[in-house]
Amino acid sequence: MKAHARLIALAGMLVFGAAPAVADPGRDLYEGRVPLAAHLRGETTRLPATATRCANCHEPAAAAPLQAPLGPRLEASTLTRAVARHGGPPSRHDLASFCRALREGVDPALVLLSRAMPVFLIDDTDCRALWEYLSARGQQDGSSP
Amino acid sequence: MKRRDCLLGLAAAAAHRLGAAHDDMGPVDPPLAAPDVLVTDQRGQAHRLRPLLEGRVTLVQTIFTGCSSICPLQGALFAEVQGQVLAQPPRQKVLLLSIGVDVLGDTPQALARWLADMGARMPDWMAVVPRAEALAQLKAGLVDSRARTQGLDAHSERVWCFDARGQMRWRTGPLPSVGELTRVLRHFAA
Repeated sequence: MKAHARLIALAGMLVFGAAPAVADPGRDLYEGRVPLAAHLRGETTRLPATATRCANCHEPAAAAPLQAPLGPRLEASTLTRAVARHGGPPSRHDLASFCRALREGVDPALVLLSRAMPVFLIDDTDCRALWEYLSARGQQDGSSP
Repeated sequence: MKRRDCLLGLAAAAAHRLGAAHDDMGPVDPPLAAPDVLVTDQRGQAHRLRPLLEGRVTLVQTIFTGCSSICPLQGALFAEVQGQVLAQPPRQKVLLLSIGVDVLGDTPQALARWLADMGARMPDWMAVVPRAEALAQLKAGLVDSRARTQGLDAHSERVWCFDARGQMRWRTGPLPSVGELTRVLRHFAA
């Protein structure tokens, strides 16, 4: 069935000259198209969806594309390589530590993240999707600056 | 009574020292007068900031409407405080005041939109922007040596509490908790 679907998609490309959109659930979560539930550390009230978009703090603002964002860029080089984070010893992320950072606000060296980093109520599926998207960034598409 | 006074004095002194050790967080002693600058609110009305604060206890934050990173979090904190104040009003009137620091971008319309996006309910939560020539005086008056001074997000994440005489009585650290804000508000509005 999958091969059949691919043939139809290919035929569509040839006929209409348009590439089918590639769904990336991790990207959708990162860019806020799919909202993430979160609250500030120490609080219980959920933040509005507009305040929990990862890209809010980890991407340059549209109004100032040349200025460094509030948070670090999240991609292969910053996540999976051993680097000193938040004044702590060098550490690298894997899926487990990444999800812990989102859920508990600590980095791989157990250093507390900034209070500005929300604590996310994220399930394993979404966390894995986000990790797979971010940990591959900069490796495939050369989007790393 | 003397022993109690002594203990209270020690506690206040300790709090002051702790505040100094944590970059002037906590009680503001002696109280500081609010900066006396001209501001325009979200309806386009002009005010002098000092009289605006008098007669009610005010929590003040600095934001800018084009900020998509920290300011939504600051707005969410005020929204939560507003909810608690509305549910259990203190004895004195209170005001939440968001001061826009982008003197060009924070127009009355932008401020009104930002307040609406944050769920603000007027008249208990207002937004104002200072005149361009008053911005430096305003920032100096709020005194935050740890505020980021560069980049688009160059504004403080603290909250300041002014009493009903318009005197600064408390300043928090960056992104304070809702609990601290409501405790401080209720203390000075009791």
